[in-house]
Amino acid sequence: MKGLSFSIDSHLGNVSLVAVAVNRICVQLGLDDLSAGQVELCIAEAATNAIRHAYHGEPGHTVVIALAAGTDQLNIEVSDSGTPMPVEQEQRLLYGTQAIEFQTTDRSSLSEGGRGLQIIHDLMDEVSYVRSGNMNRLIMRKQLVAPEMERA
Amino acid sequence: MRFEERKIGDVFVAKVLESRIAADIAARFKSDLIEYVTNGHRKFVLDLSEITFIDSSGLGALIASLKVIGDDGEIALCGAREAVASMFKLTRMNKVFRMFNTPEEAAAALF
Repeated sequence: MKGLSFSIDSHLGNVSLVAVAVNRICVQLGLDDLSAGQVELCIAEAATNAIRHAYHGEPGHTVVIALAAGTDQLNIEVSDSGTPMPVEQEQRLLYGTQAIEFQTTDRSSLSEGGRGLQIIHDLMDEVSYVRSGNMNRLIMRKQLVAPEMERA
Repeated sequence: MRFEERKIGDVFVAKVLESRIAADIAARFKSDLIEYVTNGHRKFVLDLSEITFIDSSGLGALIASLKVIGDDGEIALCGAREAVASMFKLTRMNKVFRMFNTPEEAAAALF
């Protein structure tokens, strides 16, 4: 298992830097461009959530993005020491939700936000959330190779 | 934010000249789009072809703009790259916005 971690200040302008870096690392690890972009998106959503919700948009706090790559999977942890994730948000992350269902013809029913955790749920192979001590740990796993295709 | 503005026939076309529409610039993106609407552009084309990355905050800005326009206006999108198009599909926003390959096709649909 090899890995590295990035530590950024809780400023939204820092999120793209680490997200782009993770994208390139994913390509190096063998993910195709679309999958690497999906991991980049999940990192961006998770780090943005940490800054906006756990730290309430305040700079001066730390968000850590840690990567650990095995032969067939990439484990990613985004952690912060801010406000815990509310239960309903955790449910959305873990199980997805039908809450984003909408009438496409009724624009007033469209929500401007609240899609980040659903996106992570949909794009990652496995997600979990742990509150340990004063830390929030959002843990994601992405398969690096398709085992069936590898054997063939 | 930077946009390239032009007209195709009578249809206003704004091309986004940023490669990333993420949380750090989403508020500005939203206010710029709403400014187009308040300046009278109730049906216009937004060219996304320079964008390589959009997150949920960027999508939120587009949705906010659409809500300001109301039910009788439209933002037609064009030129979405694979990563951007897949984001719209994932969030089902491809059912909310009409998406076209080229500005000309989008403008023709609004004309």
